[in-house]
Amino acid sequence: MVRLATLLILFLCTNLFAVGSDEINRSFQHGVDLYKEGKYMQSAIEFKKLVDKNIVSGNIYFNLGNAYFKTGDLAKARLYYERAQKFNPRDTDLKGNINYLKQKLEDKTDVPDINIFMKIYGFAGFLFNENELSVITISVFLIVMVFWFLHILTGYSYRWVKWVLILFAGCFIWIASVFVLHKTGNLVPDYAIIIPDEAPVRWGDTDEDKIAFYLHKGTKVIVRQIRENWYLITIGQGKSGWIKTAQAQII
Amino acid sequence: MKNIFFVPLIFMISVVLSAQPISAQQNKRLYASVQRNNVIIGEPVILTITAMGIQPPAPPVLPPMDAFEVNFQGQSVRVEVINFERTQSISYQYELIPKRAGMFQIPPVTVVEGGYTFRTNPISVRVSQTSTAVQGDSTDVALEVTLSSTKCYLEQPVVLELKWYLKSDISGYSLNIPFLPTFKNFLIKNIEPDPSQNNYEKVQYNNQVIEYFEKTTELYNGQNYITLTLRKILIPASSGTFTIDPVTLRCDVVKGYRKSRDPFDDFGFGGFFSSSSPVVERRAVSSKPVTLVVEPLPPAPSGFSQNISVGDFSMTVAANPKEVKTGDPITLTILVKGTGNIEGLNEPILTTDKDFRVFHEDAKTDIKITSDGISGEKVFQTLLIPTSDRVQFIPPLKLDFFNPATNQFRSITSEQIPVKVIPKPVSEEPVVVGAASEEPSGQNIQIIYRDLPGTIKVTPGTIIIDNGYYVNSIWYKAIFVFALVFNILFGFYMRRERMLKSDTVLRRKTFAYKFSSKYVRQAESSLRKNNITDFYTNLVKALNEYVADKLNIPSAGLTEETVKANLQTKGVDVDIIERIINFYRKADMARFMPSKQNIDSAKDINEVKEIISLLEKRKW
Repeated sequence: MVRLATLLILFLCTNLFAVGSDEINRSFQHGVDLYKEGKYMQSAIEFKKLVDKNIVSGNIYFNLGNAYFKTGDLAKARLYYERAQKFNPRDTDLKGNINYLKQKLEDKTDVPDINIFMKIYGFAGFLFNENELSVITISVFLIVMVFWFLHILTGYSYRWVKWVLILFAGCFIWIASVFVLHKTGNLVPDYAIIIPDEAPVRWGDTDEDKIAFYLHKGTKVIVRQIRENWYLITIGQGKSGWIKTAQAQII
Repeated sequence: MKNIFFVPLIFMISVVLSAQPISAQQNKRLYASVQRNNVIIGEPVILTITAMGIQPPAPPVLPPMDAFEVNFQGQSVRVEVINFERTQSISYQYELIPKRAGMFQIPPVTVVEGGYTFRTNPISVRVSQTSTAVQGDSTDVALEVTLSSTKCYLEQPVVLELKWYLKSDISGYSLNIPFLPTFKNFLIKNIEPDPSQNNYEKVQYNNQVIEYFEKTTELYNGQNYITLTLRKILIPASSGTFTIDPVTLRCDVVKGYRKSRDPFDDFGFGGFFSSSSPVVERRAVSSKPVTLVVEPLPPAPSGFSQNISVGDFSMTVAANPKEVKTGDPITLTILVKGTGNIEGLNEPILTTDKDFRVFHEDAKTDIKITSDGISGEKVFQTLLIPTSDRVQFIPPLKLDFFNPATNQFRSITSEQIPVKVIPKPVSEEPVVVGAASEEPSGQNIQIIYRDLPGTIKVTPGTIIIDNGYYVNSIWYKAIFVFALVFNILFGFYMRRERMLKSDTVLRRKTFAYKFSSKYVRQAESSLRKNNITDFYTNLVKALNEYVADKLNIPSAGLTEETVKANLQTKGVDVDIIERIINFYRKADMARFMPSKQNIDSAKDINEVKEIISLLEKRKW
């Protein structure tokens, strides 16, 4: 059983679902070459072609962000950096680039921090991407199954087996709940990035409503509600308002 | 212990397996809608396909439609939480540009999810010719799209001009510019308005974008018109032949005013409260499509770098300070001025970087976009750190570019700049750190990187295709289910084993059939050896063992009477008891007086088997 579980985990951790076809690699490499030649716009188009075909990875989004940054499109650069962060949450290069980009944005305000309980309880959700979380969840589950098996096999007579089982079962309940929160989008709210140079945020969801304030390209906002062509958004300092969906893209 | 964890485990597993971003309870629906189903040729129809409660892995593929050019516009997600129930719908938007006039049907679009097929409703769209859509005087509104050049090179800016001619007032309009705000394969730049020189009018297009159009009066086809002009700079990013699709306009032209009847007029108020309403005529016009041929740059002559900029440029280079210690940076400021694609301008390269460590900073661009094109300057700052005190000058910088106006490649080279480098004592060597590193501490640490700290990734990493996350895989779910079912079954098995081990009565009852079968097999063996005595002895043992195990009594002392009495107390059918007694008698006769018996061994063995199976069927 242990061997089987190990094999399964290894099988999952390696390229069970990752696809590395030559065509994708060629297209990706072409984008990298164009970037290195300083043809940032063409490089962005090349990476975008992959994304448009629903072929995504943290590195594709990262490179797309870099290419947009170099063409001066800070909004798109931030959008793709933030998307890359979902795949590569521990990438220090990515964090460095996001911090660097934020210095160049007009709006210095950023989204409010998520609550401390969620931050502590769901820290694994911020540390790992979806695939890593799913592998950790199934690994902990298999460990629980192994110890449950041992517990039954030994006639419930070894106390240490029982306590290890309790420990891992607790771990599983925790990691599974974090994974579910992550998967259903309840761990963090929906974020969006402002795309145009300047976007008016209104008190209501019609063009006739008064403008509350303006946001500028690259600013990250929390999307609280979506209604027709409008997003209800929140930024730091508790400011909220409605913005047209065409003016912000959900990460 | 088992119950404490069994219940939450099952719960969590089921939650993990069913973890989906939407509620499974919500209604699943797929429907299509269009903003307008009566359009003219070239006027885009926005088709929205909404998947409610369905999560297609990719945008739905539209069936082939000859009459339309189809462009996928994007998707948006709508999430609502009502009474703690989260519902999600995804809207996919497609732009359909009609290519010919007629009545067309957008066929149903199909999405398959979880074995179910969802279909949209078919939608009819009427496409008219411009001339047929126009009523009355068609010369009061017109649209015209022109390019400064219909042939250009890659990255060579081209000015696009959209003119809206207007002779009368309008009371409402809808302007669609299909190639704005983004145009595939082109970078679009806005021309800065100059309010001191021109008048501008705010115009809305594509339902949501508002821009300032230059307002002038012009003679067009021999008549005076008010013109609203929008200019954009197109910078081609790919070579090829591109068609700029027609711009379409629907508007209500005011042809006069009708006075409404005012009741106060009859009382001599002179129509003080009377009002007039405009008499309008609907117009629908479109511009002609325009073609732009973008040619790739000709092959660069030998000696030119591969990074060729497009335009006409001049370059000046300055260094500061000009006297440094080894390891201290010299800031090199490179100013490139000119016309062309300034933003896409490549940084001039050092002819040699021997004895220097080079760090590039962000370039600053200052451009002026006018209807003549793009002009301005780009300032590159490079930090050069001399690694040796042998350095006497900064080597020249070289900028290669292609000038599309003269159709020629050019290379400009700066002068070398003399500098003085003084050797620095070893103890003063600076430490170079990146911006992504921790906050530097200590006097000799300098932050050098001022460009993006993270450079490009050279491998794609783990790729996800069509939402193919592990958790969505059947294997992932199968592992959960298999491991769980295996352990549950194993638990039941072990529980039964322990019970049988500890409870002799249960063990005897459970294995009664198994033990009696052993004697039946021995009887069959005896029969094959033609040993009739052993055959019947074993059959009697089989029956005795079975009955004794089931009744939990010793088999050794069993007699006809004890068997009969015990079976009767257990409520066994009288017929079966009678058959058992008869068999005992027959077996005794066969064992002790074999010559006086008509032995039918096959019948007898079947009789025993049948009796045991009949007893096995009842509940003990």
